[in-house]
Amino acid sequence: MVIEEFQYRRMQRYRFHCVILQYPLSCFLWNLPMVLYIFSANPMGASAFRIQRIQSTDDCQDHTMHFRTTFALAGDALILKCPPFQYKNMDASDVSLNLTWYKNDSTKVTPVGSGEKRIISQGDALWFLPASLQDSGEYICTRRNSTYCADVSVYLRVSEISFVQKDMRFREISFVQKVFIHSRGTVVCPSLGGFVQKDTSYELQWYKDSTPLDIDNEKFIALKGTNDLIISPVTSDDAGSYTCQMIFEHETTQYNVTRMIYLETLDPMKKSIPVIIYPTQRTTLAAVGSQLIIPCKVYIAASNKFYTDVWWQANNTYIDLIYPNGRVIEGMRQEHVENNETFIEVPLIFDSVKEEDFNTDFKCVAENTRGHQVHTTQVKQEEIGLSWYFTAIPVALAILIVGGVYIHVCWKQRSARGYVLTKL
Amino acid sequence: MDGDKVCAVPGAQAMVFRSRIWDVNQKSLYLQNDELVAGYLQGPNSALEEKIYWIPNRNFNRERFPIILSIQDGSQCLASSFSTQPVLQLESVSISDLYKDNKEDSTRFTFFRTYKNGMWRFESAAYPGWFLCTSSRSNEPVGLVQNPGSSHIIDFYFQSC
Repeated sequence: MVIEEFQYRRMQRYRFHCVILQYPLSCFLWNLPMVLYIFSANPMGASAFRIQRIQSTDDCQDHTMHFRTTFALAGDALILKCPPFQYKNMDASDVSLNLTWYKNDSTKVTPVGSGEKRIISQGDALWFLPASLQDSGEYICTRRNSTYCADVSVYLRVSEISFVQKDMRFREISFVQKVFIHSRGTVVCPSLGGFVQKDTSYELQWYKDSTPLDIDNEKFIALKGTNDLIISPVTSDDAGSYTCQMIFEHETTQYNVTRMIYLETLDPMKKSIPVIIYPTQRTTLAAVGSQLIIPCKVYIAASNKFYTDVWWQANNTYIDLIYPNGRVIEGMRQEHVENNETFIEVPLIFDSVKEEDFNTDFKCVAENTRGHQVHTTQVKQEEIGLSWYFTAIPVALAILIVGGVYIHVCWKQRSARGYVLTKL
Repeated sequence: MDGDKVCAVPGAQAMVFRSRIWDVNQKSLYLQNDELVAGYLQGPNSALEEKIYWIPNRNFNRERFPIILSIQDGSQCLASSFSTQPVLQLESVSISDLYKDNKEDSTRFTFFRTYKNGMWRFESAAYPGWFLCTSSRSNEPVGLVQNPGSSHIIDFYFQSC
């Protein structure tokens, strides 16, 4: 009776969500873990969660929806851990609560882990020895005393190995790991914690695409008593599906524990020293009072997956420290790609050039973990005398040309008139 | 991976960079009950991996690569605080706001990044000698450690994405 009520309230919760989401119920139940994750990950989540909690107040004061589904293989030994609780209505340190597990099937909630040989509740975990297909579903881990109750829902999906081994399904159950090409890469057989018994040696079997790996060759190393497969050196061919397996023995019965890993091989992180390609000159001309921008442009070659820092200094001090009033500032960093090459540009911006700038060393520094480059430039006063010449010379030339032409024309007219007079 | 594109996103004031991080035991970072933990994410759960959003901190000597780290699109910053010893906390502060902070205010959010043999370490600027770490066990909080033994991991892979 109590269990039926419990189930009824749970169904109420789901129905409420379905109304909000306008989802077909069957579709929603299938996607429930992800939908609830989305709810808890965005600001909407808070209100969705609160609505849900009101529904369960007379049930358990604290309900946590665990958003990570556990995927397992039928026939394997499996440990389903009760995830950490969120005690919103109680001090977590004050816990003297009994832990019980329930399974929520579509029609009823049944206690699990007691009085059954195959599924055992031990500590805060539920052991499946072994897991079977019908174990898939929602499990509710409940902590309770006479006045208080908290529960967590956790999802389990058990699949047949033949089903999983079909290409696309492998990704659904596997752990993605990454290694770099040309280096020594370590693949880790994950989440074996509960199965490794202290002071007991264990050995893992490793497979790639269902074929046992030749561990004795120099390329692969798997040391006894560790969860690591060392690949040295990694090549792009090493990407793909790996399986690791250990034997777990419980009361003279042996069970497999299988983990599947999808290994990605990453291109090695090519790095080179950044190269400052602008400014190239040692001096930049500017007049007192004028605005000035000196861009520092840096070529980072293939290091674009690495961070290269580019900044300006004035007499070995950072710009914002030496010009707190902002007369001179470092402009915003920009990254752009030209012909598949990556460049970083950081401008030095003078609001108004002052005479003191002519005695300052401005340095552009580009640095990554491979090395650094520095280019020093000085601002020099534009020669006013010289600029006067630059203006005056064309004007004088123009006057000379115009004058010359005028004189030439006058002279020609006079000589023409003289010719006429002579003729007459 | 997202290819070779530079995937820095421009913030209000600073450019915020995005990276993937995983420890040498292949554990990724994710949130669990508002706490940053490291562990193995299976199948579709890998979508829960937290990307690191970070900016250089201009208040510190740049040759030590001082950076401010955050998760959740830059809305939760990693901070070193002190109870009986230095501990790591998540603070709800926007990383773009920290860019403008002075040295004292931004110290607890700052880590010096060092690189060796393809791996990175993150040393707390507030507590020199204390490094960002994961537990060697799965599904446990990310923290700070001074003398990592076999129970803690301080070496990470850190790559732009």
